[in-house]
Amino acid sequence: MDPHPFTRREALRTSACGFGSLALSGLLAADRPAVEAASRNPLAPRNPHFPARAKRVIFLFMRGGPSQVDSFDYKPDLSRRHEEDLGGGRRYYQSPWKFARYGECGLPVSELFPHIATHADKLCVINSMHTDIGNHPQAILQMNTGSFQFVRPSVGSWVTYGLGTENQNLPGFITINPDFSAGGARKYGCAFLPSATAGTAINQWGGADGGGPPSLKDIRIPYTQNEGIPASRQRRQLDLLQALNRERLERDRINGPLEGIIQSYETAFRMQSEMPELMDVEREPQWVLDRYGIGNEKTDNYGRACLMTRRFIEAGVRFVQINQGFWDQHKDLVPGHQKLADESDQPIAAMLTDLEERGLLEDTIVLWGGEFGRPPILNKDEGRDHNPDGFTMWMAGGGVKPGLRYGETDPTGYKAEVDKVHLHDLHATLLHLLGLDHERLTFRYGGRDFRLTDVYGRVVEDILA
Amino acid sequence: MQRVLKVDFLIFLITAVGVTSSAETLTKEQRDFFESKIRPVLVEHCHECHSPDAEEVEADFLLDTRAGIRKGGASGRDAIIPGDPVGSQLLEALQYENESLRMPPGGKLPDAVVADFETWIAMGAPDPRDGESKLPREIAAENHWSFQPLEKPELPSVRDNTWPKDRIDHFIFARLEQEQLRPVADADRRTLIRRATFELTGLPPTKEDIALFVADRDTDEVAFAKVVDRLLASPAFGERWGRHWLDVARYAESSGYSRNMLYPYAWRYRDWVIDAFNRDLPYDQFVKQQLAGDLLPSDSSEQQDRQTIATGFLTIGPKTFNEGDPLLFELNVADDQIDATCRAFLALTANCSRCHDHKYDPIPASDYYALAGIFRSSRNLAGSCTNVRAEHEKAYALGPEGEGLVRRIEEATAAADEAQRVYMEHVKKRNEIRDPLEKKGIDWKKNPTPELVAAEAVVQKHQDLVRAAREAIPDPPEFAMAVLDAPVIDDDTWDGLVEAKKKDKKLPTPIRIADSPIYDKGLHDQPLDPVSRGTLSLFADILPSPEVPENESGRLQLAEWLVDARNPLTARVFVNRVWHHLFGTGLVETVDNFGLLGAEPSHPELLDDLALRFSGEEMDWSMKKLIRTIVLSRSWRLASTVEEEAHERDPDVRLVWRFRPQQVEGEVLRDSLLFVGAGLDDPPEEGSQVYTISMLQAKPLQREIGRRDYYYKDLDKDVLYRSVYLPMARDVLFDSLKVFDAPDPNLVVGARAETIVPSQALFLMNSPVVREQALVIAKRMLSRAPDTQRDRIDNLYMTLLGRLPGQREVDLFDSYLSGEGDAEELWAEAIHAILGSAEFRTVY
Repeated sequence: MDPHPFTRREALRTSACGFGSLALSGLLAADRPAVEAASRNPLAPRNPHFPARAKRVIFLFMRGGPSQVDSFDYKPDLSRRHEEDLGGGRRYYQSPWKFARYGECGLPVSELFPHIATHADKLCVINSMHTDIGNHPQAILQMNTGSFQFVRPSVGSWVTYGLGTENQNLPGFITINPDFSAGGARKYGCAFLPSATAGTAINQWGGADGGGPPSLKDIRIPYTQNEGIPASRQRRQLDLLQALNRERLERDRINGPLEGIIQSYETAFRMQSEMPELMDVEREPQWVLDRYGIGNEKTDNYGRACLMTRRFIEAGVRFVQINQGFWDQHKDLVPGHQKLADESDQPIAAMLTDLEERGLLEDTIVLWGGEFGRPPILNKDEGRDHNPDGFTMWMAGGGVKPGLRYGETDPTGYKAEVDKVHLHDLHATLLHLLGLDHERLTFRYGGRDFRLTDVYGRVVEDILA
Repeated sequence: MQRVLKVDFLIFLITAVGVTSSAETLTKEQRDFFESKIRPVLVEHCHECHSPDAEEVEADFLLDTRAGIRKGGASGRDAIIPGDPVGSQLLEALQYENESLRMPPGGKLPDAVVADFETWIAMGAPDPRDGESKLPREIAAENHWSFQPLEKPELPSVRDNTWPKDRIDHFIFARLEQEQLRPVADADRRTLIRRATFELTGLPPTKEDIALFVADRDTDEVAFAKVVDRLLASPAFGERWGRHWLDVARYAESSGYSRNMLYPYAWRYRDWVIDAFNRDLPYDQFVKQQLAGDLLPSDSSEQQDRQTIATGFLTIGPKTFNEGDPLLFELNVADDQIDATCRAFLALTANCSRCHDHKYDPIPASDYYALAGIFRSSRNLAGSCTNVRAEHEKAYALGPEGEGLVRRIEEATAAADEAQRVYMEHVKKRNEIRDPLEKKGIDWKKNPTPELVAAEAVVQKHQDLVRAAREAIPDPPEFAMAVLDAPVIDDDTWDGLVEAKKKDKKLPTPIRIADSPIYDKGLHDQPLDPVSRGTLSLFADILPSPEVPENESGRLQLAEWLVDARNPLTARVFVNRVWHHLFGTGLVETVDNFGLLGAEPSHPELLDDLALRFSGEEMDWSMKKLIRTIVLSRSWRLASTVEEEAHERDPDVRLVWRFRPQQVEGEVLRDSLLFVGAGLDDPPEEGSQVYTISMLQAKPLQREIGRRDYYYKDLDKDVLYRSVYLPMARDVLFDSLKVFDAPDPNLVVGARAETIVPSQALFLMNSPVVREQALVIAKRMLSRAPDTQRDRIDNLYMTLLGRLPGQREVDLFDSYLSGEGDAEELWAEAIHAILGSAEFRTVY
């Protein structure tokens, strides 16, 4: 019936023989098809669709939804409607935090973020974000996977799938302090993409109950240390294991997967020495620790996350996400937001400085924001509720226009009105900056081509540098 | 001015000819008008994109026939409404006034031409072009191989008649001969028993099993058949093949998504699947029970319960329990059920049709909502508690009395509470008599007043009554997950229920047996007309969609339609799943997609032949017979040796010239490690740890994974039973499974991914589970009578890899063991190296 029954698998297996050598030659030649075909290693680095503006992503996910009118969306007109009664104890409410203008661009930032504000000329603030649903679990999943309804790969997985990773000793996608709730591992899962593109979680924690994640001090990746065998002996043991593998390969003569396994052991052995070193932020000089606020109770944990992130990025990890939360102040907006801002403001600013000093910022995208925003309205509990119709995110680094305030919400800061940017547009733009066409970055599963942006998404050209 | 004239002319034409529909009634004037004014324009300006000759038909619009030009395209609007120029989309496009609808794209046609079209439509669009209008993909769908009836193929002739043993081999060998390839030699007995034991039971063979088979004096075929029959009869068979099905069934013990609520009774479905394989439940029954076991006849309440547990298949899927909109929630549940049913049994992606007609397969949205009606007419007894969705809270009560017992418990509990209340009243009365005495300093214990004595007696009596009432509360039944038909409810009662729900959001959303509307673009606030409950229509000419009685959901009719001998997909799909597991690749590579985007079969005749043997007299849907037949075929018994030329031409081994080595799954790897090490425990008595944790949690509302603590702390090394019994909450899988490509239980997974990544190596190098087994093996070995080092190495190779070591392997070991350190430690390290080696997890 079909004269050519051989499909993708054929290509995979044909070139699976001699995996190691082929993959290597592919790497050197940066020959995309060869690498893709040759390797069952989905982390092999790949060329983007077109020249990229950035190579790496740091996503500072502010879970719970920080309030835009209290942070980066300055709304002086809101004061005119201050205390305007809306019934049920709800009323318009101007920000309890004062705004000042920063940098040459004069970007207004509230006093919640005095440190980040010093980087005003690097920030590209999008005030006109909007998303589809005002419910945490769904909105969080949509922010992280593009879909609130279906099981889809996370943004980090898509990026890792699209570009591979630059350091084969490390995972391509790392997520720090993710919580169990709101989809659990789904937030950094790979769904149908190759499992190696799934996020490696550091310090997964208990979700809705806790006040925050446990300390990152002395944190380890699972299975990177062995209680029973010291490293020197383990090397000798691994040599035996690999000799047995090679013995078998000789017997089989041609066995692509077996070559892959041999390779994976070498990588694993390097990874188990490299990951703990990278995660041990205390190897940094004291002045660096101080800069990130490590050792200071408020900033210690987020500072560790940021410094670890810089170390990962520097070492070639493709996508690092730091999760902070919960920015969900239905009650007591002021102490809640203040606490979270105090924890993360200085570390984020320190990381931006550090990345810049090391020349990494120019090809790293730093993205800050929550799954939605909050209305300019205070409820009877002195908190602000959910708002998917308007919120703010900012980017810095590779390929975005610095010192820009893009898009507008209405005069009260409630709904995105001018130059609206949907969540899908943000995803499309993020991929674009990485040299990936969001319509071409597809994966065929169950007979359909899937993409991060589904059938939506538009690159926001105006914010590209 | 011009317009007025034209209108007059139009009126003249309409009155003159009326509206035409077929070529015969065309007058000469009409025909001349069409041939001179319309057809040339269509051919010149439109056919390039809107005829079957187009490279790609734009907007699904074909205008080369009368039928096509009237129907229109993807927008759903009629392109031409005869007699109504204003309503006709085609004219709108030609007029170039609507910015987003301008045709032809190159520029507006001259006004006169546009006017001709207006005239033509007004005259009733007389059109002599007969013929059906079908998009190229519609034609492809009609001819698609998997929608054609099963046909018994001729056994192909082969030149070398000695090679084939089973019919399977004839097809395989004929194709190899045709391609001028030779199969490699048969596998030796050691390789074969290891392969069969892994594939049929998910465990390695013991040294003794191997020795017995190697020493068997019967012919290879006879001796191997004995091995296979022993393996098929072992309980481990169901654990292995049941797990394959659980992948397809998206089995998990929690709802997943945003609030990951536990399913405490899901494990009963898991056990039903394992048991179904072990007792060789015929596949047609296997299908029917999972969709409609509650509706099938039964001889006893045990059988009724068992069949009903099977319907757990429908309700173990992922659910967004905190979805605030009850209708959207209900539609999402139905969507999961449609997806699971169509993918699992038919390998079709019917859920693409939720929002629009399927883009590739002939599945219109009306078919999707015909199925949705069936599932929306069924109650989900998921036994999962949430604070948002009350309708999935109940579970199915097992036992002869079933739901009745639950009611009796409720009544008896209420009675006991009432007795307690009365008792407390009498206590109060007694105290009212006693307390004044005490205040007066009277020792009422020694000198009770008669009044107090009487009151005390009443208290005693009621105390006994309370005790009796408490004891009269029956023991609770066991529960399971299940799906049952919704009740039939008349419209008035229904309206009342809907009203009540509007007032009290805590009430479960009412459901009844009813057809579902189509929802425009899948939007739940845009209902269109309801469609009759029914099945897919894509091969209606072979097997029509069944009639669903008014008072039934239709699940039974759906199940019967699936296993009807005329259904071209069901048997093909299952036979292919089995082939996939045994050979590593299906005859159809896309095991979950037999639609137009799926792959073509490598051996179509073989697939049909096997499907007919499976569903026909020879096997009568016996899953064990099917597996036995394939495993005993010569094609399956080939060695895994590589021949360069064949490998060059067919590296995927789709033509089956050798056995392609397979990496074992995470479950098999973990089970094998424990099997050769500390030994495997029996399945957990409590069913599953998810059940235990659910029952331990004080408030049912806390039955969520990840809120407080985690059920599986260090479990990888703390439990020793087979992996199929490990707790399986969505998104919270064990490392030993997660790292080795465990299927995502949110999706139907007929073919697992096969990745090779460093995290697997890390796990094997450093997981305490692996090291622990190595230590156990080393200790056990050293505690036995002292052997030579060589004997020990031989023994290890036989136990762990099912073969003897080569000289170089012996040398490697000798050299390692001569290193510094404690002997037991050295042995354990060396054994650990074998356990981590590629060969330990490869089936050759």
